[in-house]
Amino acid sequence: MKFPKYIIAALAAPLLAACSSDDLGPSIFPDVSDEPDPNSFTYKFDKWLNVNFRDIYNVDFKYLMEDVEADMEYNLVPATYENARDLALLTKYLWYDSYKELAGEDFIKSYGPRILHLVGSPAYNPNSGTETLGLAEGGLKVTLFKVNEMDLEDINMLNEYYFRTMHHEFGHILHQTKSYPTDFNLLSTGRYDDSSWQSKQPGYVASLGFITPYASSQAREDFAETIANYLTRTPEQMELILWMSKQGWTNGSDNEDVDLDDEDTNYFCYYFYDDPSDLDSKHYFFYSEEKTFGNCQMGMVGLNGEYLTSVEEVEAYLEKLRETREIFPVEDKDKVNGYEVIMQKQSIARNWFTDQWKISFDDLRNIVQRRQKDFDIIALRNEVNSIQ
Amino acid sequence: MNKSIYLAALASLALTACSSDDNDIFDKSAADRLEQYKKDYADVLTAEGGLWTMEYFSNTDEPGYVFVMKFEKNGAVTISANHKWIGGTFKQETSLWKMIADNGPVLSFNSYNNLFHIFSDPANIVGPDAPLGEMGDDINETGYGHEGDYEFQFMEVSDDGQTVRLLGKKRLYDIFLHRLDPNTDIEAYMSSVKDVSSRFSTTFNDLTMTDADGNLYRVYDMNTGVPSIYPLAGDAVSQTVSANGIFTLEGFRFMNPVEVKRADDSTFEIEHLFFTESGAMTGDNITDLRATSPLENIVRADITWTLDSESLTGKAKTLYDTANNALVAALTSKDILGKTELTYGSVGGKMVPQLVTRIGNRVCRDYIEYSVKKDENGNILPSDQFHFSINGGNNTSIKYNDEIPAYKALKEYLSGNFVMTAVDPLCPSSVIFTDKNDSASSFKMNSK
Repeated sequence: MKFPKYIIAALAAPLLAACSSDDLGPSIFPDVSDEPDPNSFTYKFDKWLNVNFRDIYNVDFKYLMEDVEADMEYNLVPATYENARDLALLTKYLWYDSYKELAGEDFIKSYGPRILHLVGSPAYNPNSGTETLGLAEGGLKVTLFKVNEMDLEDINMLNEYYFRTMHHEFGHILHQTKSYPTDFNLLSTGRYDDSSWQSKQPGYVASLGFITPYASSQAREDFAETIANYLTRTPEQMELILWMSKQGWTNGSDNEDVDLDDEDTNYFCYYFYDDPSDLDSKHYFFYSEEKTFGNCQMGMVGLNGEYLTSVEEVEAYLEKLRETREIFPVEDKDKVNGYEVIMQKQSIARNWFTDQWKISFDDLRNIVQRRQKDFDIIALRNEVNSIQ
Repeated sequence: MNKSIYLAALASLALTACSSDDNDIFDKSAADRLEQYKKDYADVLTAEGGLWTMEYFSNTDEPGYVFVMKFEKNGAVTISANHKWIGGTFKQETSLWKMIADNGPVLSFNSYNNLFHIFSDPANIVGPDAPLGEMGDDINETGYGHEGDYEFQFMEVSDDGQTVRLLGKKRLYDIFLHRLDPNTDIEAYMSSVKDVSSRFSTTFNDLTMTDADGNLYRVYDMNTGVPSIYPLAGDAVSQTVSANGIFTLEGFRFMNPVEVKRADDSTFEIEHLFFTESGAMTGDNITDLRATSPLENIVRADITWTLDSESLTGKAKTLYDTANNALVAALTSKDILGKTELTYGSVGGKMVPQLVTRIGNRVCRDYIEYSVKKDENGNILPSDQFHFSINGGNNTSIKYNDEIPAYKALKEYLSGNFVMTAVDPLCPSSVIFTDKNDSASSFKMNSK
């Protein structure tokens, strides 16, 4: 039997009819105020956050850990209340206010993340032996780790773990919003190493044109590192990195078969002969090291463990050595002008800031450097304490 | 035929009514109900002064830890602890808590507290108690730490509101809160809990457990909070079970009921061990848990037992005083009978048990032989009976035995028949010896 199409259409018609006059009724969600409770232990800080982050920048500053905001694969713990408060104050002063001072409130209001999330512990990556210091997700959220280890007395540590990370992650957000020139990617093509960057030393990668070992992992990290390091490194540190970039480096063996990527291998930039008449008595020395525990610093390590943190110290040290023995710089065989590449990368970043964001990279650096030097945590805390 | 089915299906859909009258099972939305639960549970925590003790487990390899927590309505929680990871001393620290909507109502300790979150911190455990491969530094970081939770699903509140069962959000371990009197002296309370675990020592590590059928089991490492148990009539290798638990004022609770193996490989469960009035323990399916018998400890070569001269009573005291007076008279000195010990010493290259007495700066050694019974494997059978025979001694001892009969009489009395009772049945570091024929005569010996 064949059904006439009109019968089917007639039967189907009610299916297409809407059930009208549905009243949505009241919200199923409870009406909970997002204003802090004046009786709360954290009232003053919560109020300060609302005034300084939420109301101005529409930012939810999550200082109380919410594990759903982090990768559940990590084992993480919350930040201490005191450190979270201090880091919130510094985030505003060193990051938000830096951009505000240069480009006005609307800039960071438009491009800044909407969620800042603090985590007390590092995010360990046991397989690679690394720690993730910060994460930026889709321009929406920045997560800062290791807040419980914050030491306000150690500016290098603050820089290494927090301020540089902030600018690094914000750099990602900015380039995810307006791409950086693809020319940048071409400057170090073939030299990125995403799997073993962590075992490389700052001097060695500088000579290849990378501002830090992490910059040598992939191009977009290189770009973020170029920005963050230019903004936060002191002139002395930056000068030392550039000095390193001009050196030749070797892992201490003339054997061409040695794996230069071998972990735990030091790369030296000078040598001498124990016995000048014996070419086999070549002795390599002088390697770079960035201390990331305790007093975080970038430096060069001398023959007897001397730790030298400026070009001035480095040159004085080498000069003194020359008084007692003949020393030779390691020949630069990598066929890369590391100094020139780093300069080109900074130049691209500078132009990108100017062209895309109408911001002076150098002015921004001056502001960040000034604020890093002059922040007064006691005065900043008073902003919270004076809340009524 | 097929088309008939399609037509019927289509028609049935067409005949579905549009009803705006939903029959709600709940009178409030899920979000509203969750919000209400959060409020109700927060009220439970802060009620009656808000003081609770938490029995916390971070993993199954280490013991549980007791915290005292005072929940304030303003979102602060003051946590007290004295566990070994903070140096074993009493400390307090205030941080934040909140009931959050997560997987149901969840109690979150959402700001770091050094006393509590150390069990959730991913940094390697360092120090002498660190697991293998995690000693002393943080190279080769594994990113796990103790693996404890700091967020807990709020599972249930007891009818009387005095106990709360939480469930660790990540590790899924049961964590219990028990309400404390708000006037509790927290430091004293925590010290008392610590004293409970201190009753178990490494010196008297072996305990004997008796099940409901009278079977005996060896229990050891109780002091670590991760005891091991095996049947004495069974195999110590294949039938040993180990499980972690927590010391409380009432006794010991295994984190999860432990399946103890009988000699025939059948099993029974133990979850709780409670202190008895005598100071021993009893519990689920067991009638007694105490240290190995006094005799087994008295004859140990690794322990020296010293007579507490202040503890002497009755005939023992009379004989002791008489011997001392005789020595004083003979040697014209005062209080000349010195430390008296049961110990071991080398005789002819062999370690033998000795009764050692000191007269002035002279040491008298009597070589003794304990009266013991052994099983087929040569193990000493449990006993509370004490008796030894004297088989000679050094020249000094023989000299004074001959010259001062009262001194010899004291030693002969000490070798006689006594019943031994451990002062603490779980840690027999002090043992009282009572004359079997004269209960008024006794003395105490302490281990060293």
